[in-house]
This record gives sequence, structure tokens and C-alpha cells, in this order.
Amino acid sequence: MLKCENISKTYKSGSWFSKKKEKQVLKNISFHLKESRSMGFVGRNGAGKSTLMKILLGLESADDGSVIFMGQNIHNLKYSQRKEVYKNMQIVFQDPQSSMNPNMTVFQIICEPVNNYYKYSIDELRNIVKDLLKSVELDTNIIDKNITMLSGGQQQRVAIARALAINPKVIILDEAVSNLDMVIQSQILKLLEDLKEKYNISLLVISHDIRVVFKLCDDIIFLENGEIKGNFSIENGVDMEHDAFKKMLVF
Amino acid sequence: MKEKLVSIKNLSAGTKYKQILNNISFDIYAGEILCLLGQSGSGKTMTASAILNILPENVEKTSGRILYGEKEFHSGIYGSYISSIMQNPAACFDNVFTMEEQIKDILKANNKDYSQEKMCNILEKVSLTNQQDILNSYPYQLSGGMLQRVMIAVALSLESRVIIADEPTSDLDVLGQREILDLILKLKNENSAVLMITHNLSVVKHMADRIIVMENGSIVDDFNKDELHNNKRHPYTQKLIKANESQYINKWNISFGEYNAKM
Repeated sequence: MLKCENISKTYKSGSWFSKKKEKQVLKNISFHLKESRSMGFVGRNGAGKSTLMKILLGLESADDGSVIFMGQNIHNLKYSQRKEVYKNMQIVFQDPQSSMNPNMTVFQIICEPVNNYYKYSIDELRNIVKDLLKSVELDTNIIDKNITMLSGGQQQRVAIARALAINPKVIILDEAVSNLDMVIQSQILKLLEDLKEKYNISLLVISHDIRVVFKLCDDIIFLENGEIKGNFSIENGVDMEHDAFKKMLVF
Repeated sequence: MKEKLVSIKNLSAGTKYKQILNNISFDIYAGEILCLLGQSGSGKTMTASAILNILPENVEKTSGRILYGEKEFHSGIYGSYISSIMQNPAACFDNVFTMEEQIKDILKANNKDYSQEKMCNILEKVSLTNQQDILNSYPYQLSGGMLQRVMIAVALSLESRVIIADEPTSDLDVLGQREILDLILKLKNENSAVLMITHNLSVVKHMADRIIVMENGSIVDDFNKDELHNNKRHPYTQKLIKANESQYINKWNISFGEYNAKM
């Protein structure tokens, strides 16, 4: 479904007058995400996980290589075509507070992606949002509350509901649980596992916590300094003595 | 009997509308790492701010007292008696001054040696290389892990009796977390104590000698490390343990726990 081939990315820094510095953050990354499977990326800060995600979403362009999503190369698309393709890819960010408009109510936030693609009446929209809130195990009477009135765990659930709103095939989780405390974290992970089964979606999980990735994913890729250091799938199991795996195992 | 460094007696605090701390009493003894464990919003950080006497303006202490050794609070305790390591080091340093100026100020205020050489020494202790470069740079030029190390280095150099570490690792990735925790373990000695605040049970298992569990502003459990898997534990503690264990369960049939024990 999603196929990446030889993606490379180099960031240039330095002002007009100073010497230019170049830093290669991704080197020849290739992977293939198959239908109804989930994939995880593990690595330290600065390993290139987030850059990879930005390239997949089309927020940044790769220097080299191609991203093929549902049969189309996403870097060659026009705006209108892009809109259709990205209907199937949604994202949940790390920090719910900065990824949602604090002036909006829960209803407005979850409606946003729906209004982008479909035309519904207000009553229909309210029913859709209520169903979504039920599926992420939130109380339906928070629908008209302002997003800032909710706790961190509730906000993250709203963000997940927003991602689910237009029935995407892939949801990207960019460190989606690492800001939450232990108990809330395990609740959200369980919710994600259930939703994955229920809606038959693929998850692309980006995390520095190996436990999160092993809980949700079928394929796992270890990244280090922009390179793929290890590639495991659930059928073959994981090599416990592998270097990349050992390095991330700390607790 | 170990020496009591800080003792908190029947402490309650709250805002006009809400009680935040309910009748909290515990002691911090010399030579131990004490962990305060609880979910977000359970009052862990408020307890630490009460000990440091930096409660926010809208929070008022309604009852109870805190003793530092034998004495009540006085401004002389900062530095020589109590120092702190905060969650977000980027917010603790001033971006306008270089690291050298800031570290110098702290050492100067506590009557320590603040020569160039001594400062490099301090940074070397927390395994930072290129000490001179770090001293010349501004806080925003350093990464989160490096700043956290500098902060620990400063806390170490003050040689205070009690160090309060308020979620020192939750902003870092897992490897960074492990490195910082190992540094804090080094701080432990017979004369001083560390009060560690965290919501992560894995961290607690790695560090703690004694554990205090908080829920909604009250202490529900207080026990030594080896009593963690005891049946007598408070239901809330058992819930936390269960939540932690559930993260290790996966369909890959790998148990990280056993692997770690082997290491």
C-alpha cells in the first residue's frame, strides 16, 4: 500500500555569510507497508524518524527517491489529487495541545477533516462526532466543551477521533503516547489496538520506546543516524542479540 | 537510626477552589533514594515545591510544617542543604547568558571554587566532553540531554544534603533517560538523600530504595523497594504495577523483563 524507495534527505544550515553546513538525516531508506499490517520505527532523538514522517506526509520533499502511496507517487501530484490521496492518511501528533486549535470546541475539531471532504448537515455531523467519541471511549457530553478544558489523555483521544473521522487506511502516530503518564499510556495503547482491529487500519508508529512499538506493530525498523540498522517482522521474530535491538533495550 | 534530613508533618495545601495536598507526612532519611510515584495531577510536584518553598502564588499552605534537619525554613537552605534538578532544563537556564556565566554565578553564590579549571572538572564528572565549548555556548545551543547533564553537574558540585529531582528524564528519549538515571544513582551516598519524582514505574524499579505512592493529593502507600510485589500493597499501587506490566506484553512473545534480568 505504501512503498518507499531509496529516500535520502540532507538539511543545509548556515546564514548567507557563514560557511554552509550540510547534514544528511536520511540515507537510502526503503520499506514496504502492506495492507492491514502495522509498521514501527524506533530510534533515538535525531535518528531521522520525524523527517521520514514529514516526507511521507508531503510536508517536506525528499532529495532523492520516491514515495508511492496507493499506486501514486505523492511528489508528482497536483493539489487536488493530493487531497484525494491524503484522505487515506491521517496523523496523531505528540503534543495534543499544540496540534489542536485552543479556540475550538471538540465538535469543531473533529468536524474539520469531515467538512474538507463531505457536505453534511449539522445534525448528521453531530451524530458522526458522537459515534467517534464513543469509539474512543469518551463521554459524549464533552462535545461542546472547549479543548483546553480537557486533560492530556482526553485531548489525545480527541486527536485520535479526528484522525479516524474520514476512515483513513493509514494513521501515523508520531510519539503519540510519550507525553502521557503510565496509566493513561496503557489505556491509549489498548484503545489503539482495539481500533486497529475494528476499523482495519494500518498504523505507522514512530517512537523511541521499544515497548510501544512491539505492542502495536507487525514490522519493526530500527533507525540510527538516518540509516536502517535492523528490520524485523513478526513472522520471523526478533534476534535478541542484534546490535540495534540491544541498544534500545534499557528498562 | 538514620538521620532525618527533611520531615514533613501533616502538610495540606490548596487553592481557593480545590484542595491539592491532603495531610501529607513523610520523612527523608540520609543515604536513600526516595521515589514519589503517582499519575499526573496527583500532587507530586506540589509536594516538591512545598519542600523548596516555591509554591505558586495561588496555592496556599493551610496546615502542617516542614522541618529541615532541626530547623524551620530559612533562605540559607538553598544550595548547601537542598538543590533541585528540574524536568525542563531549557526553562531553567537563561538564554541570554553563556553557560560559563551561569554556572559561575551559582558556584559563587554558594562559596565554592569557581575557577575555569574547576568548572571543566564538574562537567567532566557527568561525562560531557568538550567542556570548554559547552562553557562558551548559550543554553539554546545545547541539546536537552546535555543541559540536563549540566544541571546535574551543578547539583553535584554544590554537595547539598538533599537533591530534589522532579521528573528529570521525562523529556528525553529512553537511552538518554538511562544515562541520566545512572548519573543520579552516582549522587547517592551515605550523607545525602535524593527525592525523585516520577510517573514511571520502570524508573522507580531501577532507582528507588523507598517508594511513596500518591493519589489525588494524599499518600496511599509507603514501602521499601523489595516489598513492591507484596500482596499487601494498596489497590492503587497494584493498579500502577499492572499498567506497567501490560506495556511489556505483546504479540511478539518477547518478555523484556527476563532479558533485562540477564543483562
